[in-house]
Amino acid sequence: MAPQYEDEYVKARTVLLDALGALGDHRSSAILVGAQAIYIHAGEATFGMAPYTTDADIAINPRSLNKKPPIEQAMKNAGFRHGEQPGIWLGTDNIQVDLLVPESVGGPGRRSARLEGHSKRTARKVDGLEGVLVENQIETISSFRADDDRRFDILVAGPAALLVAKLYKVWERRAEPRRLENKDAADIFRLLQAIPTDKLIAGLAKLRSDPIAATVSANAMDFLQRLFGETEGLGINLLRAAVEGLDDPDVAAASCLELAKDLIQAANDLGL
Amino acid sequence: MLFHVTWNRPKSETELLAIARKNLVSRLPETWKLIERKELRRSRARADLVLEAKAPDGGKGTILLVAKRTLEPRDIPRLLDRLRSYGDVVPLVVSDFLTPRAREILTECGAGYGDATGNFRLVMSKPALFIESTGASRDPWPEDQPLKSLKGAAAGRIVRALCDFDPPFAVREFAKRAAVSAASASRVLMLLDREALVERDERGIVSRAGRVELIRRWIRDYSMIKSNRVESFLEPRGISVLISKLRAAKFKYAVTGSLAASWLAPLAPPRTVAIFVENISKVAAAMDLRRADSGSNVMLLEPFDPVVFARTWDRDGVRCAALSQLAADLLTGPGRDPAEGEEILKRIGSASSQELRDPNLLKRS
Repeated sequence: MAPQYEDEYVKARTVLLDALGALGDHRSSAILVGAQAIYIHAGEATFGMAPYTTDADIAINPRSLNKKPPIEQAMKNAGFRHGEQPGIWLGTDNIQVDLLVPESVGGPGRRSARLEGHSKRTARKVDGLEGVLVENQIETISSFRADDDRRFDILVAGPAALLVAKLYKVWERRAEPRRLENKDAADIFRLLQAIPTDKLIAGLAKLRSDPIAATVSANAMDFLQRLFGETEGLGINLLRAAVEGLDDPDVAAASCLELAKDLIQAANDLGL
Repeated sequence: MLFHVTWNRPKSETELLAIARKNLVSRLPETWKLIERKELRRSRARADLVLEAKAPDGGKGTILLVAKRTLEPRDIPRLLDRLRSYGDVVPLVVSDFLTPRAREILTECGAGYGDATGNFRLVMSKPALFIESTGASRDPWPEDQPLKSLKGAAAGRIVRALCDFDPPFAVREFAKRAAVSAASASRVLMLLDREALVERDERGIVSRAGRVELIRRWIRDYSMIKSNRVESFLEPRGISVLISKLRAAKFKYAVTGSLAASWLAPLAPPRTVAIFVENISKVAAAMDLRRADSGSNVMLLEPFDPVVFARTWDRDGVRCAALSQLAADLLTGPGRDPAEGEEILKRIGSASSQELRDPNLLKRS
């Protein structure tokens, strides 16, 4: 169907479909987040940087989740194994699927989310993910392989919610950023570049007006300023490293800075 | 006779005016005074300098200087007409060199004159003043001396036309197609003939023009960066968004450089898009381009001549400069442009006339 995609991206999509299949009726409480959701909004073939994600991230909404059947068993039946931490699942070719729950609705506990009727190892709590419960839309997710006709209509997080979540991720790891966070900076740039500023602003306004996501979205705008609002910001430097050899780091850095400033300015104008 | 005579050709009208003023001062009786009257300069009347000559008895006369580097006798009456609105003044026409015929006409029309070889005449009745001196009678800088370079608009138009159209070319007809004067066409063709870049028969008709060699010769005098006014910008949403903006553009433009080249030869996707436009700041505003201190992906160029907009072709709704222009721009452009220019030059060398007019017909090599 789409031969231009990187092999790893095709495999990641296949494993995502495996996980969505395993979730069965729980799919209505699942929201696609992370890089695969970002590519759906930002375009999968237009950017110069290859999407080098190999994992799939799925958020679970505990408020609508049924107690039965247990997700852990369903995942195992579909061939997934537990990874090192709660919520990490390994599928075909060791491709990782993360089941995530926004921190503020994930119950007590340090890492694992408490989901009634489901094991503690099912899903992991993540801070900053709250917005995906508020801004999302149904999309059809299908395979990139000609011999795979599976397709699921599921909720996909909106671009503003994804931006907030990525900003949280980079911010939380700012003390010791690993190479992986370069990719997160690139994903943030991708969103800023592909999504019109007014559309992001509309999404942010929606998050700010909802009690669940108001705090994280306000914090995220502060992170955006600190990480991407200045030439020497950490986010800008991670982006430079991410595009090295693929694109002109100066152009990417200057572009990201301009777009971040546009968004910050527009948000300030509206008091967001 | 003490008279400032220069045998170097003035470099500009400003220098010409300075020479004329110096000559006038040195020729006036010592008791006279000369004062500049800036407030009397009116742009529409085209006087370049207004001087007031004051006689010792208090009598005043106004002298209007008009500078023209070259002046054909036939253009003199029209030139003097423009000064009518000044009323009772003495026009003084200054030029690099005035032929005896031009001086005769100026005298008949009641105008003074001066040239950089020392010809000078100024007659005023009230207060009475008469200055006259003679300089060269033959032009020390004749226009028809052999042309040595292909700098400038006319040469550019001619090279472009020779590349874009099919010979044979008769000079007058060719001049019309290239939108240059017959004199320019003739002079440039003489240079190209001397350098064996065109072949002409005994009647002067151009029977062959070597496109590739012509472009190589042109870029000794033409440069994308130096011949055009260039400013760099940033499109923060990237080149694909820039291209969609061009598709919807209401202004005149022609894409040159590596973007156009990448559509014709297997080249890496461009990192910078070069676009000829008529007005850089208007287009930058219309396209919401940013001025960035570091990092740019758009180059806007105000062209050396509108010929860059001639004989363009469209690719996917984007207007591109003709291949001859594209090759010259790439060969004199930054980064890896010159290597891409060589690719385009190769395509030009083997392309049919039809393919040159519509490069979409070229097979991607």
